[in-house]
Amino acid sequence: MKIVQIAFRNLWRHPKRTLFIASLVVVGSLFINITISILDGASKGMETSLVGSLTGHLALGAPGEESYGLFGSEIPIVSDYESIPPIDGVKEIFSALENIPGISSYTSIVSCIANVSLPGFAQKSVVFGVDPATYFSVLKDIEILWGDPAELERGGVFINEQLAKRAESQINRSLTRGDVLVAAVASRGSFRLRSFQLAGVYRYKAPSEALDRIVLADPTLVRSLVNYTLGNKINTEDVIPAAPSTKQYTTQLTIQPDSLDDLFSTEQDIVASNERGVSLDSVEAELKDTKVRDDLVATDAAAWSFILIRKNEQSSLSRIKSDLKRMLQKNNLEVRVLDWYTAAGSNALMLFALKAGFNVGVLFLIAGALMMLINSLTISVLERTGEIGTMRALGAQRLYIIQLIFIEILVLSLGSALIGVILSGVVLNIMSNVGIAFKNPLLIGLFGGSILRPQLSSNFVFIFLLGIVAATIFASIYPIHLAVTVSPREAINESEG
Amino acid sequence: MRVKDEMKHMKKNMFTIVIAGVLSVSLFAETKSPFDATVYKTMLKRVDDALSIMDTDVSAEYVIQKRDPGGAISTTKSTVFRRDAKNQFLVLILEPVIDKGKGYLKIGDNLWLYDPVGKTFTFTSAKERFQNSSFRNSDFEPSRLARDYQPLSAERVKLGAYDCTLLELEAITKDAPYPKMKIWVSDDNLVRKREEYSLSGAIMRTIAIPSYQKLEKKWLPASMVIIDHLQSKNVGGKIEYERTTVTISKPSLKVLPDTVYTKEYLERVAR
Repeated sequence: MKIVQIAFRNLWRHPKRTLFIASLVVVGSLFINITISILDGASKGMETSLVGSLTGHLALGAPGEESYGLFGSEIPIVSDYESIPPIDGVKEIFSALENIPGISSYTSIVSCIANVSLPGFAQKSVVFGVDPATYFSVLKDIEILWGDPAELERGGVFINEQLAKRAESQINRSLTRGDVLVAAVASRGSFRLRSFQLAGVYRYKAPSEALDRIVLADPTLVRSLVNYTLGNKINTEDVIPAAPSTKQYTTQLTIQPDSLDDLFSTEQDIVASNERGVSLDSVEAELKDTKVRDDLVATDAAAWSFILIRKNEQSSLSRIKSDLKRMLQKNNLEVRVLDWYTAAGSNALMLFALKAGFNVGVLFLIAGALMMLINSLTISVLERTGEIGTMRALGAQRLYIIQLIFIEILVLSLGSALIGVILSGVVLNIMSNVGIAFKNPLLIGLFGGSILRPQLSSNFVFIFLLGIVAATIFASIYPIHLAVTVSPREAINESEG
Repeated sequence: MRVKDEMKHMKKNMFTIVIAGVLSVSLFAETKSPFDATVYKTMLKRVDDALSIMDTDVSAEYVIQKRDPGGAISTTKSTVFRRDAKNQFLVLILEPVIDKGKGYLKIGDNLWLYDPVGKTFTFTSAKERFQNSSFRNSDFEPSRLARDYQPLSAERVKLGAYDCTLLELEAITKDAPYPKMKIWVSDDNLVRKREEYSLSGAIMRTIAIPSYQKLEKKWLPASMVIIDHLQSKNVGGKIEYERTTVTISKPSLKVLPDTVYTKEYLERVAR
């Protein structure tokens, strides 16, 4: 106990030095606590903007060669639209999900990218065919402004508030229930068009550019758009072989650009007969029989692109994930389990990159502050070389000196860090009451809303104080080493000189 | 005396050489006379006249085969009805069977796509690729070279069996499908080969039309080979381009009812 008293007295004896180091730690503590609280807000915000509005906590999707999330392929060059494969064994998965503890709800979606238009307005959108009975209970951060979600099963479409505003400003009128929107998908040398009737408008709690592109629609029509049809499973070449007339030019398909001129080695012009030409009647007759096509375009009512899972608040995500993987393996189901940030694809990656940038900046600042602390402590020990030498000459053991210096440093840094925590609590409380407003859509997405109200987490304060103790130990190694390696005679001589 | 005669003879020769030189220079100067764009603009008009059919409708069957770099082949069979005088065309897809009844309808400057399964129309650009092949929607339109392009240079070249004029063209209207173009026009006013370039001069498509078919006094391509330089892939260490062949058969110049070029007809015929 005596040693603690001496440590306090030593700190008190050098008020300027003590105040300098203490203020350094207070400022560092203040900065770290405020920054981490804001970054914590970003983490929670991303969860709000993506988990509660887009992905759920986990998503299940079919395995594929290309990596893809809810918005499709992450390789933009692949094609304008490379369709997402449907999940196999959806019914088995649904029944198995009921038996996995910790899952509060789940829903399924069909996803595709389509050009959505109405007269005078067009936008490339992500169209989700959703099951209205479960979708809004899994994604609780979606607020319906008007409309009946049940119409999503009757050819209806819900668009988000931001998209509705943009459309209304371009068409110079308000959108009304029943307005027809056309979704067009161009894929693999063909196109598919489907009409939807506007059934409602919804709002995301934390709108962002990525979320604003989403349109919720009738799942059957979206399956038809994305080609979850019988035709998708059958090779159409087997159904109707290529016409014989088409085969004569197949050799030209392998021609190289530099040998194109060889095609002109002989004159090949011909005289055609007007009498043997196509007629309207023959074309109309050929188009009358559409049975094969109608069979091929019949949608697969059980096909879904993703299953979105929401966990109970208290359940462990990693536990649910491992249970899911075990269940899928047991049932021989080839399904990918995607974390919410993988399911959100590049949208989440962008937010993660921004957050990582923040984190790296903070790490640099913490490292700088630590260096300054070590420096100040080392100087303070060097200034006391004579005093330490005298103590050693009077019989103080090395261990005693180590304990004394360590207690001094610990009291100084922990005490100052606590003051910093209290001050940051006060500052964050003020910030939380006032609120930090954002206008930038990227920041709104990052922080999960247009107003940030950061809170100091008690968990983080505990970890921070533990970190301060660890930093103190680390920072005191060199000064202590200096103090104990000085011989008493040397130290006294130095102080006299 | 003999020397004098020789001198006289030499002077005469020199005079002849000078006259011959002057004549040849003036002749040479004539062949290198400034490029006269109006001459070649007239040639473009003759090409447009040969390939555009203004007094009736044109109907034909188009088979478009596309080979992706790497080998996958897809085939589209369609019937095309064209009325050049009113800038209208209707394309009805017959094959592949899953696309049967899909249609492209051009009325004036508007190009509509129709999907009979969704019973839905949408609007698209004429510059888009037709069924994702190297053939473009604008390739169904009549030739409008004289309206859209200005000749920049011309030279006589040989293209296989054909004597051709190679014209370098630059777009002068916003409707021109490509900013720059090189065309090989044979002496019968038919475009045998075409190279299309971007504004920066990068080659985008090469089109060879080795065979035409004569229908009364007008001409229609019988086969075309298109190489898309923008769609390429390295296959076994060699760059392969997307290639599309177009075979046009069963042409007809019978007059069609006006109702053919309407959305109502498309909805009725393609159920």
